Amino acid sequence: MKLVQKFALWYLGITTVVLLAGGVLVFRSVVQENDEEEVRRVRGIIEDTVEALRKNTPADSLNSKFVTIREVSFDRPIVPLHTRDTLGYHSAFQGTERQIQGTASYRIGNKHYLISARSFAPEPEETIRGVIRSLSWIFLALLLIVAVTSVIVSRKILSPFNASLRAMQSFNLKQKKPLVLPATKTREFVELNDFLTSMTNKALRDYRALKEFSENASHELQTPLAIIRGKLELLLESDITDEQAKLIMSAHESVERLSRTNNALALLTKLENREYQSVEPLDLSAKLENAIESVGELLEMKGLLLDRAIQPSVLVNLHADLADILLMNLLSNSIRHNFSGGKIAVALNSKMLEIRNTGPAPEVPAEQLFERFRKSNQSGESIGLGLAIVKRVCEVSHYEISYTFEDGWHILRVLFS
Amino acid sequence: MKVLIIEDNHELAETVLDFLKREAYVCEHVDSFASAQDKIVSFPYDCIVLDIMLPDGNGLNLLRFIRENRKDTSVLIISAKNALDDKVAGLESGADDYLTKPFHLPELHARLKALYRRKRLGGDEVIEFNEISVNTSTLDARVHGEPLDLTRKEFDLLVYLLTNKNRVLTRQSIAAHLWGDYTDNLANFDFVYQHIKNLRKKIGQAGGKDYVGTVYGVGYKFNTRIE
Repeated sequence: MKLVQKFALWYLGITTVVLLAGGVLVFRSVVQENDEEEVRRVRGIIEDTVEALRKNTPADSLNSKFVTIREVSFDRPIVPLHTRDTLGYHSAFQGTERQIQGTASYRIGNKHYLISARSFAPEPEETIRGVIRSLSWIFLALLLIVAVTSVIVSRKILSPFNASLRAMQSFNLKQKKPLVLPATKTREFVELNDFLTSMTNKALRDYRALKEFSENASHELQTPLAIIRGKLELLLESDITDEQAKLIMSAHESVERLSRTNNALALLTKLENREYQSVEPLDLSAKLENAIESVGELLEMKGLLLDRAIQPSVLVNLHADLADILLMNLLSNSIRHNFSGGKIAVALNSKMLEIRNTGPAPEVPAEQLFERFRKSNQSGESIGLGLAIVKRVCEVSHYEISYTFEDGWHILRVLFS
Repeated sequence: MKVLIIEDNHELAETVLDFLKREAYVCEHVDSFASAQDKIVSFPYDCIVLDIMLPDGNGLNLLRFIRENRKDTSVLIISAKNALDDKVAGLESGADDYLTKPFHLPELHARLKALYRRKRLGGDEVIEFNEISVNTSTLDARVHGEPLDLTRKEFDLLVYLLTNKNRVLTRQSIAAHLWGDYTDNLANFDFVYQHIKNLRKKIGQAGGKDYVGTVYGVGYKFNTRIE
């Protein structure tokens, strides 16, 4: 629900309550005013009648639909003027109507008259109906005005807010551009914009620092690694015993591993920073054929049979380097985790890439295979980052990757979508 | 061959110098942008090994300086950055080759030798050793004048061994040389063993001596001193 709609609903809700309460008050006061008016009129009639009697107008001639004069015993105590609600027959309406009746007795001369006067009063139901009708019109008019003005006013008042919202949505850390928000005079929006600007600037700074740190950390490691590796290679050429050669080699292998891990982590960092953006569609079929060709001799040496069902010219939105990394990682996995004399089946079409291979059953649950440093068999050559990299490549490209093991086949599927 | 090494890390430069010393090359080392400019202006070099990240200036600028002053010098960039952009920028600015740290010393040597052959020796890029002769431009390998039927990898391996004669070549360095960047995933030293075995067999069948020896637990070595 839009903000303005919420405001309008609340406003209408409050208006309804106010109108209802107001209606009750209006009804009460209208009825009261009416009654007081009628009472005044009844008194007026009685006073006029008394005036007429005092001028010796015959009592009979003063009797009418609204006035009744009765002569009572002179000794009776005087009835003071009082009024009450009664029902009386109304000839014009052909029915009983509410009326106000006032009664009083006066001693005029040596006679004692009991005078009562009546006046019809409007029924409360009629008043209610009238009040409800007019309030309904007011409510309808309000509804219409709120509906129209909320659209116009919200467009005007909320425009800086909406602009800020759009700016935030299109904000991207990777573009390294500070957030630019439209100027506004509304205090809340000024505060919001100030906050957004300082927060995004801080995020940009932190992002840059983190990026620099991970890049530097990776680079700074390379030179010492190069030195260690070089020194070990020099040492190997000196006059050494077999025992010493073994020690040097084991150090050499660890340096090798360290260097590969470092490279893989640097690549993962870059993927996380989304530094690879595809610019044009890539012919994955050609890439795949190339990749298969480059591992051809490895297949041959391990006696693996590769079956391919590759649709020509499958185009995907993928950075060429990422495609190489993805394909080589998947292919080399299918070679490494295979039996000698096993099989590999590669299928590619516009919907998905599937690489199946025979091989020993995995020792860890399928979903953990994509985690970093998770290895099925702790073979010394693998550093356990291959599938983590594959997964990240798929994630940044919005592909879906799944792994299953069925009937002795490892099946890795990449769904393009 | 005259080689200039421009590298701000003394330890690394010394390691490279140590390695190349045995080849009877004339090697010099500078550690800064300014001193590199002095050397380049003063002396001709066959090859320059350039660290792209120098403390007092960008290596790419130095590369342009080299290209303006010494057109016929080969430049090999070494960089800690594996970034593709750097690689492309380096090669576009006139570098002849690019090697990322940490590199294998025999690999550096093989690259330098290849650059030297290409620039200095012109089209006739033949490596000869006793009965073996290898032409790197036509990919033709012969023993006693008889052509050997080698796969591309076996040919590359033979050139690598001949370039690094009498040096211990670890299996890792051979794998990295043959499979390049993707060794990370494919490094299976059985493959190296297989290639070595095939190469020795083919040379032996053609009547060549068995120069390639195994260094137990380490790798292989092309021995020139066998009887």
